[in-house]
Amino acid sequence: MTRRRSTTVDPQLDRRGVDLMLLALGAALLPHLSHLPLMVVLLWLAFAAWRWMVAHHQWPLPGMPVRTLLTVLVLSAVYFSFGTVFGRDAGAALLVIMLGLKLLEVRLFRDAMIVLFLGYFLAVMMVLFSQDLVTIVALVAALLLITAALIELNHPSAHHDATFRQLARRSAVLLLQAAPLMVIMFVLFPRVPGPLWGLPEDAYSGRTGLSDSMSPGSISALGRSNGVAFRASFDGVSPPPAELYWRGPVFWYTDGHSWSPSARLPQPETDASSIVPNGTTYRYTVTLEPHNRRWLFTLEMPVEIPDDSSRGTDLTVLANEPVRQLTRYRLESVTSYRVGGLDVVDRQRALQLPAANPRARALGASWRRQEAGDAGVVRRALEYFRGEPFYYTLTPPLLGRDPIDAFLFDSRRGFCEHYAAAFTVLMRAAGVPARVVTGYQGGELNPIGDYLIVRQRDAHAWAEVWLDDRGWVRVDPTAAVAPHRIEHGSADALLRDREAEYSPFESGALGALWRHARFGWDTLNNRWNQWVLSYGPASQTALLSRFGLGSWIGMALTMLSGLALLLLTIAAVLLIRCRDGDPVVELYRRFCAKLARRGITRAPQEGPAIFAERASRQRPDLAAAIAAINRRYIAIRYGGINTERQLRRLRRDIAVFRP
Amino acid sequence: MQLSPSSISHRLHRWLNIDRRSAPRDQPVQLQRNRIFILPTRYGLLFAVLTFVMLIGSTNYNNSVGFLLTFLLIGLGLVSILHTYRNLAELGFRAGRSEPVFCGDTARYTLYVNNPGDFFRHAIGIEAEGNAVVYHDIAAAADSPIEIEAMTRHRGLRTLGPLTVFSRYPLGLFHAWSCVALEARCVVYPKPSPYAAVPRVPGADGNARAAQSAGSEDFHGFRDFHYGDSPRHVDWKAAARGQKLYTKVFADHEDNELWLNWDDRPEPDIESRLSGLCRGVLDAEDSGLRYGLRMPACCITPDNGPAHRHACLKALALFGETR
Repeated sequence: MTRRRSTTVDPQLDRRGVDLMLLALGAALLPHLSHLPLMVVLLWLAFAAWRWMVAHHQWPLPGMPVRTLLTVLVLSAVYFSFGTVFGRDAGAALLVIMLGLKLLEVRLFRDAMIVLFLGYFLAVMMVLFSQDLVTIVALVAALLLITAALIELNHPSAHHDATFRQLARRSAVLLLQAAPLMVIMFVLFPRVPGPLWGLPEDAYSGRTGLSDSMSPGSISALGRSNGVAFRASFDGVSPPPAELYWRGPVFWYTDGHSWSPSARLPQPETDASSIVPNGTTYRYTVTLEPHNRRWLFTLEMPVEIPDDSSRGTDLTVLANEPVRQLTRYRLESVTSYRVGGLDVVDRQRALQLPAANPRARALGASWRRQEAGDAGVVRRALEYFRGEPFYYTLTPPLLGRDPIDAFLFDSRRGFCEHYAAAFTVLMRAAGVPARVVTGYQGGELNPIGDYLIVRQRDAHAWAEVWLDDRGWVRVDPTAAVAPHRIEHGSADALLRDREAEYSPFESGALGALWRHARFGWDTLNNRWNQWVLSYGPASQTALLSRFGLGSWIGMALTMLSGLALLLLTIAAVLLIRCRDGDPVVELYRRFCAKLARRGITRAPQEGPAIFAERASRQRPDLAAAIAAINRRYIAIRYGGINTERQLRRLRRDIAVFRP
Repeated sequence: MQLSPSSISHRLHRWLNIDRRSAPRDQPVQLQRNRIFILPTRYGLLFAVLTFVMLIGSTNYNNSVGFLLTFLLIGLGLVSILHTYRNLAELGFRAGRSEPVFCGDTARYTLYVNNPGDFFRHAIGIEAEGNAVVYHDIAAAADSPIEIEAMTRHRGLRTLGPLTVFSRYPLGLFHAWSCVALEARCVVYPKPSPYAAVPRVPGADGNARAAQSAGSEDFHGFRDFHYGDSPRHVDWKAAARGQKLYTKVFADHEDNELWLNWDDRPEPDIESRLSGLCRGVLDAEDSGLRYGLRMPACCITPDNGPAHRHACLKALALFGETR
């Protein structure tokens, strides 16, 4: 065989095949646009356009030297823009680029198959970046197109070219038949708890949310984010909006500017008995979006915490592992409570003040002198915020070296973190132990699903002070700001004791429809989260133990038998169409097949009567049976006596016929 | 050692003691029901590796949707086994008539493929031994004729060897095949010799006459040019006018019966004699003569026409064959 030049294209890879392949790969690439650098996308488009020109306008494929050069260039580009070629982001970009380069090599059937398999891989890789419903739909569409391209590629025929619709339909049929198998495997395939090996550093990057330090501006930065932090559904009655404080990280240590959870001293365990409930108990379930930290947000104050979590003296519930996938937990909380004692170490931490912010410290000290008890100091601080012209805004001015002083005395414009920090500093200066608590406040009720949606823009910071007769008491200084001083635009971030205000185009009848659609979509997402996303090793074991399938062996065996059963069913459905539609013809065919096994074959042009006569001559012992069957067949088929009873008799006669 | 599906199928067949040549031959209609084999192709194995990698990745990242999509692809692969098998299931093959050809030409065996199901069969590959693979689409619920082409190297009654029918449709992940042995026969005439040396025998008295002399016969008409015709008899004037090549035919009106004699052939060996006689038959038929064939095994009385031509050529083709 003559050796092909390395740039000739296999004629089996015709124009339509190339078009469909490029379309399918483009569909696989589409969801990735949200995270890929623009340069990578443009490079891929350039390579794809070149391949398209090769197919349609006979451009030449690049030879080996050009391809090698391009490979080196592209690899170094990825390396320089990501700093590495490993990891999730760099890996995805690399895959896209290599796919583009491979396109320029596609000239044989083999190359096209490999490219399409890589397309499958690229599509599935998107789940590392996003798992929401819209992405899933886009990915399934991409898989459908890639499958259609595979079908087209494996259909070498000069006479008959399938239309795009036919290909799409065949692909859809295949995927639909694969769907029940997918469901069985999803439920029953044993989920080995991962990770099996170390994950790259950027595996879970890109998630917004609260961080483990707070400085002026850090929470207002979340003020515009619509991303969902978590969803909470209450069993029975839910607390009034003013009591919906969700506790997150607590900050003790400040350097005058930023706050952190105090790195120096360990946080000892607290047991729940130190929380004395005093009022209604609320039971609820939280579905927490992954945020790569250990905090589990709880309604203040939980009496019971989930099994695989712990709680320190700052009363924040911490999971044992960082929350990297959707997590559900059930809790019980009381909104009015009394926390147990404050030991010496914690009291010291709660009074820590740096040398900065002298005016604030002086003010706090003056209140200490004037007021008899700590409660009076708290009252003075709140009156100060209410009385002086303080403003609440999402865009506060930048503050200098002593930000608390600048905020309290000069600018008087800030967001919740300013107020909470300033209040805590004033309290500490007055000798009242205080700490800053961050978390979320409020939440939007989804009337369709009857749960609360708490978003990143509901992030909030408040303070806690220690009063000897009442324990740790929550004080939210932002609530003290006079309402007419709340800047427009921060309104929905602040007005927590009213229903959340909707954006302008959500008013009126059309707005109501839009709201309804929005809530419906969120409910769908929530269901999706509950049923699919949070299904992991723990939930699988919990679910399947109820059916006695707790062990992996049990799961695997059940899965295999389920798959086998489904495959047999699908096979039966498919193969049934291989028979002739007319049952009489099928029966006669069976009769002829039985005789054929004994060497008496009916020629295609032989009519039934002639064949019966010939067969009788060859096998006189069967003459009577053959004659009977033949008579009945002719009567049914040609004589019009097509009754159910006759058909049954014919079937029985042929069944007992043994040549 | 190649691991292509065809080599695997060879080895499998030998192991299962089903050599291709021993496939049942006594029935003209072959059904596929229990004799379809299916194995993954190399792309099927690659697909399995791909889904395995996805599975490992999903486990590592504990990614539910990753599992979902991976299981969808695995399900797709499993379902494609059924579709590839079904593509061949219940297909019946039957030999049809094939037109006789001359040795050296391509023989076209006609087969009838019966598709009892109500769905199309796509990309059915049919491979005759030693010949190229041809792919066909078979219409639903119909008896479709397909042609298998095979090169002919010898004359006689040639049988189409065992066929391999296979398919990798729809996804190319699995290779399903079966062996079909049909009694498809084709008569291959001997290759006609190039020169028209026609010894002519007037009537039945056996006197040989020498080769035609140019001026002694009457002009009879034109016939299409055959390879091997003498250039002296070609109508060059017509050719110069841009028409096809025609050969002038001269006939002797008195004596339009011709006997083609085996014994009168000058060629030394059998095949050349047969070729020569073949040429003689063709020329005689084109000239409109009534010709007869006298062979050691048979004697065909003079006649004219396509059926007679076929009978004579067939006698020549089957000369020496025991069947």
